[in-house]
Amino acid sequence: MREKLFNFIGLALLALCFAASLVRTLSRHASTSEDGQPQRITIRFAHWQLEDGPREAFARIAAEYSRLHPEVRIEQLPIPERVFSSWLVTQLVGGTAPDIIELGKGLEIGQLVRYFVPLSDLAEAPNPYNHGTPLEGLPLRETFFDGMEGGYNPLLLEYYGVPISGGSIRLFYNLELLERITGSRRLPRTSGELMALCEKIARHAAKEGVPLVPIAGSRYNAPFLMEALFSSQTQKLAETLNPPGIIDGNPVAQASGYLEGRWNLRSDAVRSGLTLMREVGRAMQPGFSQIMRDDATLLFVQNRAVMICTGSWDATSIRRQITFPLGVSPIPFPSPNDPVYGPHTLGARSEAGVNAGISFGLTRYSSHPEVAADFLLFLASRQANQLWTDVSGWIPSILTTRPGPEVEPFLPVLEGWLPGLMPSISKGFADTSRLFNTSFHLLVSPFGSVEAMIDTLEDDYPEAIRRDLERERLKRIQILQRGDTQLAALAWLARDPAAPPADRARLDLLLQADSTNQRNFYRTRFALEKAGTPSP
Amino acid sequence: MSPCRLLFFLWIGVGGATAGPLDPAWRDASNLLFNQAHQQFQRAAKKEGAAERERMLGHGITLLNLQPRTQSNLEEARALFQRLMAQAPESGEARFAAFYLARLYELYDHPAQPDQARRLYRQLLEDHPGDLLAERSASCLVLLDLYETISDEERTRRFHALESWASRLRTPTGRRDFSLNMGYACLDFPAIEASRARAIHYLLAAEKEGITQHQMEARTWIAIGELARLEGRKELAREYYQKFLTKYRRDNRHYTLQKRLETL
Repeated sequence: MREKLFNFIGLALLALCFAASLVRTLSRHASTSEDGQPQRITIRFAHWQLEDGPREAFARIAAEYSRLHPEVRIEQLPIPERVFSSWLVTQLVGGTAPDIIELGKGLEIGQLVRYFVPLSDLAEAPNPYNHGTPLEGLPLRETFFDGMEGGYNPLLLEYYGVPISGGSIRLFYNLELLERITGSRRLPRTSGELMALCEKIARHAAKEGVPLVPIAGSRYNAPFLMEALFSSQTQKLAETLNPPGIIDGNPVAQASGYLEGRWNLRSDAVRSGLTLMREVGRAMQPGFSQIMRDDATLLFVQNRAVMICTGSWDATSIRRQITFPLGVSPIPFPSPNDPVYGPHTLGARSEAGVNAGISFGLTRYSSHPEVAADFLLFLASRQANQLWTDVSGWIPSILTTRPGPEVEPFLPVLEGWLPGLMPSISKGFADTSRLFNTSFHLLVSPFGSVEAMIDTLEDDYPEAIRRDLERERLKRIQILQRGDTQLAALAWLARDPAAPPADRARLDLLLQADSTNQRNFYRTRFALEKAGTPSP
Repeated sequence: MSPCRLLFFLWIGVGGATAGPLDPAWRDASNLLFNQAHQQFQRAAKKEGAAERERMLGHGITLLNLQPRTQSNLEEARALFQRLMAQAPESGEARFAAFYLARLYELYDHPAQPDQARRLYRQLLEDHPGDLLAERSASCLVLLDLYETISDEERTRRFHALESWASRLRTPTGRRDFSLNMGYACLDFPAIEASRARAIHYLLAAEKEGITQHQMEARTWIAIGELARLEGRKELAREYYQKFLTKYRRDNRHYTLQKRLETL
């Protein structure tokens, strides 16, 4: 009897759940197709910006858009960064992707083509949401501080994304602690002043017996500061590695310069960069290279570190967790007058070339692509971008948007020089980077030294560079090969007298890009051959 | 787009084909949807004459990037290109086929066959002046000939031999890309006689034709300015520094160039 009763309850619960889901599904369907009522359209957009600020800003922008278009509901899908790549692939392959997705994580070029809509037409037309603003009538791309480069794919020669924010790296200070230790809130302006401050903080901590470190480090945060300081020491060296007439930071020229013996790990500039890295690394808590971003932030917000180096995107999260006044400054670089670190540097680094980010693409799965595209236009309007920066505290991407006082310290520093060599030459040089990272502890541990690190790296460094250059060569040949079919198709279509001008312009760009890629391929191959590595 | 380039494209359009049934397949290929394009070329009904040649060409071109890429696909593409060249040597399809056969020798074969590629590129240049792809061959030849491990004397000799193409190219695109490669080769190989002055000459020639890719335009304006400064041609240096500074305000080389300009 008792058993029957339980079975009955179980079945009743099951039936109830079924009925509830049926009602919910039907009501959802009805809300989008009810006759006589404005149709309710839902546009979903996904992103991984789970820091404090962006979600609230997106919600405000969505609400504002729905106010202008009552028939449209905007739904944001915040996806954790760690699972975003796998989530994205599942959604795209499964055909369940939302209308709009943030680009840049876990997306290969083939997937971009297959699953996303090119936005070049949108980029060339004025943004109707800028009506009545100083941007009225300008093509959309010209309303971005970077000319919408952050949404442009140079391989596909199309705009695929609408970028809404800028970003910069800054040193954050606990001004209360700073004042208590130094007697003033003055922020260091050069690396010399920074290192003097670190020493003062370390002495204070030892004297008072308090658990306090000058800089909170982690495997995420430390490289921002350490690599920037290293590259300040190799600016002049990098200039000498380019042929006359060329001013850029070309990793192939830098790598081949190493293989030709024009610099090595014992070069004065490199040694000086490593020394500066060691000094700043010693100002971080022991074992920093093993800990994660959140742990470093916690150290800083809990008054256990005076400084942390991180991106502008962390500012709102940090501000909401602290009770002390916050100071923000660009990374203090060595002055060219510095007796120790001055001889190798040109000066502070320019941030002018940084493109806008948080770029949103329109998927081919959208049931309402015209509405989704319209929402993207709204997202890129001056009005929405103002909301974005005001609510999120992040840097705006649209010209004439006014950043608030809390955003101003993060605006890019336009005056400055190109960075020098990086310790592992380029982030794309996987083998050299891995080699450098595995020896990194020798540089920053109390028992390590610059010499110890160089001694360990020196034997394997040339081979790692050679492998990375070879990978570059292969990458470039793959780009050329992929471009072949595309170029042939465009050239064929352009034979038609009625071919659209956009096709002809695209063909012209593609011919030029192909020629540039081919030249880069031959230069890389030649560098390898000169270094005694014959190419197939 | 510069007026001469526009005129050129109009001109190549005059002798061209009209919209055809295979256009959707070409369109897919132009958007990197290679497998879809390949299926369309493969399924298209076999016809006679030009239509069949176009189908064969599309089939071969998409085989180059059909995923997964296999040696047999590349060999099939090679056979299709060779057949097209043999069947109707004067046709537009044969010109495309010759160019991509050269690319197969140059970029797909292991080991590469640079001499075979050179032969085809030269033949295209000789036989089809004014053709877009044929004149693209000139810039390919520059790279094939100069970026080999050879003596400085041999490189200089090859450079002078290549210079003869400069006056024979008819398309703005062909002249621009050839000049860019010649100009940048002068920077990479300073042993070439009067390399800086020659580099300025070729980069100015490329610039005159119109560099449409922003990154390349910025790089070339900087190179002209820098080389002119080093050669003591201050007016030219000022002109190109200024052009760069005015147009590329958000380039991270802006400050460097501003400082260089101040020293002139």
